[in-house]
Amino acid sequence: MRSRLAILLLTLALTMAVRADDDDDPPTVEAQVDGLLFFATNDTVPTATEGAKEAEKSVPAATMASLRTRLAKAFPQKNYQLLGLHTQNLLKDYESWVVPSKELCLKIDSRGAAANGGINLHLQLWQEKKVLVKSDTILKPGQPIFIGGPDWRKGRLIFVVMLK
Amino acid sequence: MKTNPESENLDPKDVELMRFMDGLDPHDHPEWLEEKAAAQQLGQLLRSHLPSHAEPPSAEFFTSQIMAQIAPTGPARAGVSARSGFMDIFRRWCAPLATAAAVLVVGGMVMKRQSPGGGREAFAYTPIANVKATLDFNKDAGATVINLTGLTAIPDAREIKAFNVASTGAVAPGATQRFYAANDPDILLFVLHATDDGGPQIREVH
Repeated sequence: MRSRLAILLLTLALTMAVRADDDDDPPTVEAQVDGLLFFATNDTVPTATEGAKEAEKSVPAATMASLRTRLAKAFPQKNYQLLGLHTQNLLKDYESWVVPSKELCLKIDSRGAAANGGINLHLQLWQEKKVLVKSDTILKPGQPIFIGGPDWRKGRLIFVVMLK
Repeated sequence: MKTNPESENLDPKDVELMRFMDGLDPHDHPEWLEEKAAAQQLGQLLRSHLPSHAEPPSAEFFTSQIMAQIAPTGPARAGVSARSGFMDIFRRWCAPLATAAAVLVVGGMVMKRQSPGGGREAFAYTPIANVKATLDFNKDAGATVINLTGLTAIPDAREIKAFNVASTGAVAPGATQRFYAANDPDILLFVLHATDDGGPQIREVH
């Protein structure tokens, strides 16, 4: 009887030790994304804030130029001013928040590698306490996702998410 | 047809009609053949469109699409509710089938979004009434474009503060998340706490 109890306790202890090891494992980084908040307008763009200047410096000039050209093909506005940028690791089994601004932020659930490249994502764009849109989509290298958000002043906010 | 408390209060003619529809009435009723054929056609439609093994990609999206399909029939049904007799009974009999048909039609649409390889294609959905969300791949831009129309504009007077934010590490569910400046890890910009509905509660610090 005592030996059975000892075996049971030993098994229990080993199981708990294995689980503790699992918990200590650092989460796997599945991808790194850039979340960029743009102000799109046909009007003259306002003076960039310090945050916008810092954000602009963090992205290679060629990437920014390409992004602005592509935005102009998807939306009717001519000018695209970067307001903020958040670079975020997407962690396996964790939800990630991309928050370049308190005004608009993106919740991302990574759902693993896509069959033909890229990563399956569940996205939720939030404006304060209101979810504006939910989407299941695939984010592929070189193919950003543009989300046309609310109007503001003489233009519109656009959230961009792309693989880094 | 099984007798239920509701059918006990029906007109005998209506009961006879329902028995005929169920194939339980031995008598010929040429005047009802057209209705019976329509009901059988509906049944075939249900059987042929039923992908019972598949699951929709998003329950919330699926429900919203069903509601969108059913919604246009609402006012019309309300407008004829005062009518009685055969059509009223027929409508009552058909209503569940019509709803099921709408479910299956939407189900078929959702299932078609699944790619042959088993992966799911993209979709976008907004829970806000009067707002429309579309998702397309724009070839010219080389980007997936989710477009929201009908959103309330942000007041012009509001200043939008945005930053250059560094990546954060993993936090336990429900724990507070802190976001620091990309160019200075000592500058705390935001504190985010996920609320019970999954939304963010953000406090701007900087």
